[in-house]
Amino acid sequence: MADSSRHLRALEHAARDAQRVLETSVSRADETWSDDARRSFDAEYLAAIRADARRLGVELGEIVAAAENALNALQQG
Amino acid sequence: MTRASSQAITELDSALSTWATVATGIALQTTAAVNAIATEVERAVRERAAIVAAVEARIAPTQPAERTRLTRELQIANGSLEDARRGLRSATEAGRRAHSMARRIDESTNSRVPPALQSLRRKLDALAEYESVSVPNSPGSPRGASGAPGGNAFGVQGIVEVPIDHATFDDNPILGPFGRGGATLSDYRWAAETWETVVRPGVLAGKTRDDFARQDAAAGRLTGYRRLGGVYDMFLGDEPIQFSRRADGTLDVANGRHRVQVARQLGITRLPGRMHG
Repeated sequence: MADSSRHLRALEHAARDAQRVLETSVSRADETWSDDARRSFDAEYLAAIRADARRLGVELGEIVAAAENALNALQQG
Repeated sequence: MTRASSQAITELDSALSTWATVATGIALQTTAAVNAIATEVERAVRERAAIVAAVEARIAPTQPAERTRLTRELQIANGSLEDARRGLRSATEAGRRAHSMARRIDESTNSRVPPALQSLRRKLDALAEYESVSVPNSPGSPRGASGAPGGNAFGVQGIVEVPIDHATFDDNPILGPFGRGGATLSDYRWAAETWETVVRPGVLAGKTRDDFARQDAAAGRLTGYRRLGGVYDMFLGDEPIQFSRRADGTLDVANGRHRVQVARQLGITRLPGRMHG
């Protein structure tokens, strides 16, 4: 049970790391590609994916909290 | 678009692919971990409910002295069962959220990332083609792709290749919709990409409008906007893009601003047109 909780915490960290890696790559790309085609690509595709990446970390945090509530309730009994 | 932007495109391609792989793995593992917790909590609820039932069964036939102890035991068992049920509600909530997250990640990695990667790879292909095609020069005229308007590379009198990143039309903005004879924005995009990747290289290699018309006929493309012959006409026909040089050296676009705008959005850096002034 404690292993499940630790595993979920590790997944939450992994999601936030993955989002940071994506944002770092986007920032590096900003330095060398910033024309109309890039803006169009960002608007059409990239913005939604970046939002998905941000949301993944937030959602995992909520899932971890709910799962830990479940485990804590069990331990109280 | 430059070689540097090619590196940026490659980096974005790699970053999106990696994120999609990692996110998919995270979603799968999260669902499995939450399911394992829910299974464990459900088992605890069943076990504790059985304990309550067993204590209740022992209370009924027992003597008053023993009943007091069993009643206390039943209170503890009921409290423990209620804790487990509370845990089950939290585990169910975690499962609901995990399911929702997995569905959204599935949608993102299967519906949003692949088109983005396709778009990036089309841009890379266009860049590779752009760098591989040799653009003929007129004596004294620089190559079109290099900055200044190029020579008569397409064999059409008066049409030269113009670097469109030098063109601005802020003083003459696009006001009307895309609608050349009913064509849509999507048709314009198709035409600009087809010009860049098929028709332009073909013309530079010596193909004529008749050659493209024959290709259309062989493919059954006899009418509609999405024909190679139509793309040829759009850029080298009777209504070419009209550029003129302003006093400050920038280029104005008198006719063909929709074509120029769509091409820029696709990362195309030069288009054929007629240069005035």
